[in-house]
Amino acid sequence: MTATDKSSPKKKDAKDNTFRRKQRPLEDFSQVLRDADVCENPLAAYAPKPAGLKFESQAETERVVMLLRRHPITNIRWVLTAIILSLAPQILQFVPFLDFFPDQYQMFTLLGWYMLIFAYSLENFLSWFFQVNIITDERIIDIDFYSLIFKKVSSAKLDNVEDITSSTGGFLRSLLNYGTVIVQTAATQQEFEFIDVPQPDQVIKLLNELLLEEEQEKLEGRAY
Amino acid sequence: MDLIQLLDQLVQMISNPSVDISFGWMVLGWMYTLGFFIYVMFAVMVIRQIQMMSQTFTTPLRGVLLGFALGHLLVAISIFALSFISLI
Repeated sequence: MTATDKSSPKKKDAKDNTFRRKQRPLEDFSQVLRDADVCENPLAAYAPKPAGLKFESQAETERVVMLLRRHPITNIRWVLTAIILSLAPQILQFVPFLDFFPDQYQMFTLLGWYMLIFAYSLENFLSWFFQVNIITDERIIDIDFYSLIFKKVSSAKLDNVEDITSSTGGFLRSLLNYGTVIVQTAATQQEFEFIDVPQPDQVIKLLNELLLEEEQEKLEGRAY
Repeated sequence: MDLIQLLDQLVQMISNPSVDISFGWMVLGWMYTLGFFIYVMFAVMVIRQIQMMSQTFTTPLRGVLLGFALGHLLVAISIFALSFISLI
């Protein structure tokens, strides 16, 4: 073989793979993902390999590994409040509260009451639904949704993760296996909190597996 | 008529039904209509909220949520229109 022949396969590889990251299938290095099926439930609070999920700053080769929300039981407060408020007109009909109002005003008062309850419930549901934590094979992303028009998106590369802590305290949290995972990073936002997420032990295990894979990629030269 | 006179008439309307209360009910009707109008604005903000968050991350439930929010807006507009016609 000539020198040119020896170098041409390398040149071809360089052209094809310079900016292509050699990725292992997720199940190869993560037992958590190996044991989990693709999650197709869009309302799931613990969703490994969520189907059909993409986010704004997602890179072409970045894979979403897990989507986390607060455990559904954390919604019990506003659900019960909405139910009690809905029943209030039925209970108050035994009390002559608005009898001096003309009939149409009573009707609109009732309509307005139920509209307010609906608005309260809808806002709480949207707040729960859109406040998520996303773990990809490159980063962790925290999307916080504070009011109707204010959102905060924070992300940190897995390389910057320094410490992972989980806490599960209380009867309900122990019974239903949900808790808070705190991730310390060297990024601008130093602390990421995954508040009241289901199966925090599995989340920690997954993060550790991803961190190990990042280290392995650096050692093997597979990283960017 | 200033605010104090208006409030005075409202108090008389509540405490003494024999007083001519048509003006008071008209004011109350306007307040109800204004409240329903504010609710319509809230319904529009909900749609904007869903759009904005769906841009941040896309889920399969996006279409369902938007449809639901649009239906909610239609109901809010209907109730606002009904209150405008009935109460004013």
